[in-house]
Amino acid sequence: MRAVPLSENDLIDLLNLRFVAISFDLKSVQTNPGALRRIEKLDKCFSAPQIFVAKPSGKLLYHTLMAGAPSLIKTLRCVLSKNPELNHPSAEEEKAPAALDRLELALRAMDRKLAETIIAGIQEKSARLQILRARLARRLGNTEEALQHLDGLDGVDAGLERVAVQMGGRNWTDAEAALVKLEATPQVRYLRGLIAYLQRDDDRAVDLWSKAIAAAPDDPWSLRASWKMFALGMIGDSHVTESLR
Amino acid sequence: MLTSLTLLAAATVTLGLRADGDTWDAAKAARAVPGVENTQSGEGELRFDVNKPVSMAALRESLGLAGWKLDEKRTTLRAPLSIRVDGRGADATAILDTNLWLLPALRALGGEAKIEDLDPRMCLRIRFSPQDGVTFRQIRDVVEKSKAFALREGRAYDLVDVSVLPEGGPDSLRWERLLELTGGVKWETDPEAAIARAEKENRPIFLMITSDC
Repeated sequence: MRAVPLSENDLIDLLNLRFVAISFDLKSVQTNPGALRRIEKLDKCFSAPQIFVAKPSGKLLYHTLMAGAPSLIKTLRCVLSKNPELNHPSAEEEKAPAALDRLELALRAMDRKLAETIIAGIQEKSARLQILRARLARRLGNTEEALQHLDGLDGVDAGLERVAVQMGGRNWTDAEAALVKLEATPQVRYLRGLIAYLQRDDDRAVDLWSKAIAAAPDDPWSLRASWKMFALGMIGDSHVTESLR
Repeated sequence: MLTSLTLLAAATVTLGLRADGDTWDAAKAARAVPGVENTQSGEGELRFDVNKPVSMAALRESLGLAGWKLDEKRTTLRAPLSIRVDGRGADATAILDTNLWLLPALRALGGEAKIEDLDPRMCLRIRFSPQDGVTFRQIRDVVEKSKAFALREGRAYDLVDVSVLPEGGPDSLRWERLLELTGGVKWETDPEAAIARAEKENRPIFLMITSDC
């Protein structure tokens, strides 16, 4: 199976914009659950990591021992879809005055309906709008439409979106070709390794990620590359892995 | 030529030999594996240190090239271990469900087992810290036997590799740690305040229970 590209950033956005995210230690939960006591079945939590998604009342909506970002995003979106009363723009979204800012936040929150409503109200044509429309099309799995929105656009943002569209469509050669046109930033270097990794070319992925780490050891994208190399059973740069502890 | 050996692994790894013989060749073959260092051969025994994760598959291959064969029944491993299983392309939820079978089975061997990582290609890494030594064959048997339950659910997984980890080496590199690192999630650490905010804003609660133990 060819999995879709990693989407940790999407998960982070979704959590920040539409959920109240709580991180708590197992020992603390067991000894002093406090307000968390109201969450259903939490008293049967004997191991970690575990994830609970619940209504403010404590009614359990989802529970898992562990999940990767793609499946978790799918589940969280499903939770919001089935409980529309809990799915509404965050304070950050409501405070954004510009329509394009609200659109971007709606996309980050993966709120398709809201995004489409905002787009319908935007009159001006701009490169940013085209990029955001491409992102929406990509999220809906419409690769061709997404590419059409990006047609003729230059710049880093359009280039990265073009890479994301091609990766989403699993068009690895086209994704690599789009990457080549971009300046070699830490993110671009990371993506080069990721494309190799997703094609199961581990040796090339490790080689590319090693170079990415060497070029920018302290960059978050290098931390991610190091983490991926660890997942492959190969330790990345020791300086980087140290800082991951 | 010796045909089998026993491997006793921990931060310091000891290869015990089933029959008499010169362990120099085995030491040389072991040293060819990344992470193996400070090999010391003795009376029917070979020891070495692990300075980074040592793949058993790589060790087996290297020893095999030198004419040695790994005896899984006598290959004894000590904590900490990283076990990789391949979910055969099943979706993430299926893999997680199957671990309801695999993790308890590993714990039944004695020791702590927890999920480290689920990578985007559906390979699962499990950190297993057996209290005492556990043989490679025991690990393989646990995977195969627990798989029988998963197969009933129409799922399966296969043992890919076992890595011996250096004690005190990088640990807890689970994906939630990555979320923290990427700086992204605005975690609430005060449950009272978090629940109050969820009520006030009428938002769903996402609660992650973690453990460093």
